[in-house]
Amino acid sequence: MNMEDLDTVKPDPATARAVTADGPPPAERAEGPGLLRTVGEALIQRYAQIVLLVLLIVVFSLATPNFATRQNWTSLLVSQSVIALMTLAVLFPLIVGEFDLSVGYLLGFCAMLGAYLTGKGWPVGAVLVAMVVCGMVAGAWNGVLNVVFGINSFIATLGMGIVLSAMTLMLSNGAILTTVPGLAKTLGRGYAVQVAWAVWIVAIVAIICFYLLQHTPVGARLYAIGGSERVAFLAGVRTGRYKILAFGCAGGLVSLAAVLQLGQAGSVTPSLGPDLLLPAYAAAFLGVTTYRPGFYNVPGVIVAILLLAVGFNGLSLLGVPFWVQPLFNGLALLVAVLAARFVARRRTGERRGPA
Amino acid sequence: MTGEAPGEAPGEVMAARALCKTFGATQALLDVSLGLVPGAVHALAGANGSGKSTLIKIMSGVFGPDSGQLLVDGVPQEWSSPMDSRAAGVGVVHQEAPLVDTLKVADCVALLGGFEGVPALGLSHRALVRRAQRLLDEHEVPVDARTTCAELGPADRAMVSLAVATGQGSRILILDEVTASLRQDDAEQVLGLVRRLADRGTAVLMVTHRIGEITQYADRLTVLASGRTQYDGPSADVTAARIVEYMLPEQRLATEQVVRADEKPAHREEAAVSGPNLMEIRGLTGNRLNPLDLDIRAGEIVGVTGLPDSGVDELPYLLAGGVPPHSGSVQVRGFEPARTWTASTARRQGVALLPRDRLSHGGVAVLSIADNIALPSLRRFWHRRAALREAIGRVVRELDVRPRNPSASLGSLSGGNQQKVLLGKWLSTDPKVLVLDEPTNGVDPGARLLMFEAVRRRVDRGMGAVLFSSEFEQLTAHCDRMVVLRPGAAAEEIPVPDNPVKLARIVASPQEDGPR
Repeated sequence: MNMEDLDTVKPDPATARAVTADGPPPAERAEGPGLLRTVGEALIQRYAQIVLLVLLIVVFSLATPNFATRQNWTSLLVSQSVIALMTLAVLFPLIVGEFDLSVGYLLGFCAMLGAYLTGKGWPVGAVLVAMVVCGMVAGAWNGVLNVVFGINSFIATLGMGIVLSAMTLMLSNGAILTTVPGLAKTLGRGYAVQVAWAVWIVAIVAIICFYLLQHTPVGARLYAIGGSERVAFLAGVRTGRYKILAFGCAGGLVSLAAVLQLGQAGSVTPSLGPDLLLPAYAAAFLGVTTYRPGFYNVPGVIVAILLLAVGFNGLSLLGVPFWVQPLFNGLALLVAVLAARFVARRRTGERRGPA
Repeated sequence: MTGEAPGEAPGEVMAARALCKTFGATQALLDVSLGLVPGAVHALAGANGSGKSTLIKIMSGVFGPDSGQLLVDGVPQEWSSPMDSRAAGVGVVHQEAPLVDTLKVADCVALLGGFEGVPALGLSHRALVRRAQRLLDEHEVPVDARTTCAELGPADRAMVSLAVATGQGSRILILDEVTASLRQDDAEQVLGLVRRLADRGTAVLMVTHRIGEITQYADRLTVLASGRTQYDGPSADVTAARIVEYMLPEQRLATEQVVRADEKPAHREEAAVSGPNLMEIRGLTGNRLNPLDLDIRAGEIVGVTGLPDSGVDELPYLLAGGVPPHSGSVQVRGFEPARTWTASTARRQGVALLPRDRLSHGGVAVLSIADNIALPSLRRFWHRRAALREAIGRVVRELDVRPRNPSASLGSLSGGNQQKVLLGKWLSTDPKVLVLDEPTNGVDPGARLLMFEAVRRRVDRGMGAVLFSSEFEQLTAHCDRMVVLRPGAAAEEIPVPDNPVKLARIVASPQEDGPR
């Protein structure tokens, strides 16, 4: 639950930062004269990326006439829809303090399953239901491996991912499948009310995730588990169930991403998926610095994805070479995290050694 | 009694002279002296916060004293780190013998010994095992050097650490509560080794909470209270009861009793007519806890205390479902006996726990005050923001939480304020039974008062409370009934003693009868 507007006093980013293991800083900060500055710095820190995003948009719009066109924006947003859903997916395990490395392979598997079942002549609806159910079950199973069998999530999901990649190869027999359900094509490439379906879907999913995570008891419990699983357990939260739920949500969102991917590409190669894992995590980490600093959060993720997409899109319209995209993405992540840490450290008064 | 008696004694291998140390406004040590003699076991006793650990840290080089001197072989020492003290021949063994669980004993011995005498290239495992085994055999430690450390029992761990410390050529051994978490028989095994080491000429300083160990194993004794030496001399000259009295100096009792004097007797009267039974505990057992029968009634605070191996550490968690009981049942008024007693069942039936470990069990450091208070009651406050705001405001006002900004993260508060928030979190769930586990560890007197007033108000309105505390004056001041847990024996309900010294005697007494 988001408590930030509980008090007239603006939340203080320094106190909202993750507390380092070396103990809490002294309490009782002075309120009053420093308040304006606090609010100012809070704005700078929490919304620096939004400011940067607007700045980039303005600069690119002035620099090239091709940027601020409807067509460019549509392709920009549609091209980010799959990665956006993947990032929202990894957000859930991250919030409860776990990793899911299987999301990339799972995307490939769900997409391949869709193409395979369509090739077998399944009706469109049944294919989509099968994909989503598969995604949720695989995700939840990751959770079970972690919670019930006590396997470290890093290892459990890595193992599951490799198994899924084998099943992808099995379904495709190593070939590229082009049997794509019609509805997936519509969702991936079609338009509704002047806006691409893919953009609608990401927007709706993001709003649902945002509401779930920030404004329901479920979300508050997930964040509490991530903060300290033992504390949450002692507060009466059934931590095991919630962790399985988080992994299940991840799987479900990955299967939605697979539907869009299937429609947009019009075919599936057996090697689809793993490439999307790291960009999704990069966007999730970048999102931590915005909106609710120190916490994985939906608005932060959306801004991060837009920032990366606009940056790359603008640069490529200006004619920079193709290898600039990963360079831009990597540097953006490092700079954002460093800046956030720098601001936090300066505010807490340069305490102690490495954090 | 400062420097006069032991300070000048001949044959001292290590001596502390008139050590003083302050932390902020706290005088941790004031003019403390003691001398260690080869072949003698010197016990160091004192309540929590008496300055024991400060003294040990100075004597092992963790930090220096503000004034005073450390002498080794009569030579003043200027240590800037534990490495220096080690070089001077001081070996330190801590309570949780720090061995690397995944390594074999032989590897651990080599690691902790700094790989001394081991060639940088061509490390031979067989040679390491041989060396380690020789060391262990030499000290009659019944452990195979090829065992993995994780498989060692607690006594074996402690003994391996002791052997390692002496293996480094330490002539002086400082033992920081090495037996605190051991069972009686294990502790005796370890103390046997300590005795043997001393008999071979090592000077031993042993911190302990167990009076029995002092009278049985120590030659000399120093008792600290509030940073001052209360006793320093041969341990044979004092009785167990006197030791306890030295550990609890008058002044501290006086303050707490003055504060409570006006209200306390009234509550004691009411206790006789306390309300309906809220929680019925029957045959509850845990890893250490012996079968326990206990009723917790409305309108009373039940105090529980006991020695470390009596199960007193795990009972709070057993009561609140934090760890599963081995057997026995817990029934809360208005509910069927739970099939499995877990934290979420306990929460639903109105049993709450304020754990001793604030940040790893009590609250989520990175979340705000508001989020922490809301955590157990999320459903109740969902879409009732005004109600939540009011609940938080009530906690902040009643317990005077500083800062008053509910979006400040819990981790940024001082320890006392964290504890107030966490108490408030559970009080605002309106529990039937509140379990308080060492609720005032590191909490200042003002905050303690506010916390106990808040608890007492709820108790007067029909809540039941269970107070676990190792501070005897707190138990005698606040409890309406008292239960003492005994290692290897049934719990004993006792009338609340009117002063902490009496309580300390009751708790310590069976130790004098020797092992059971």
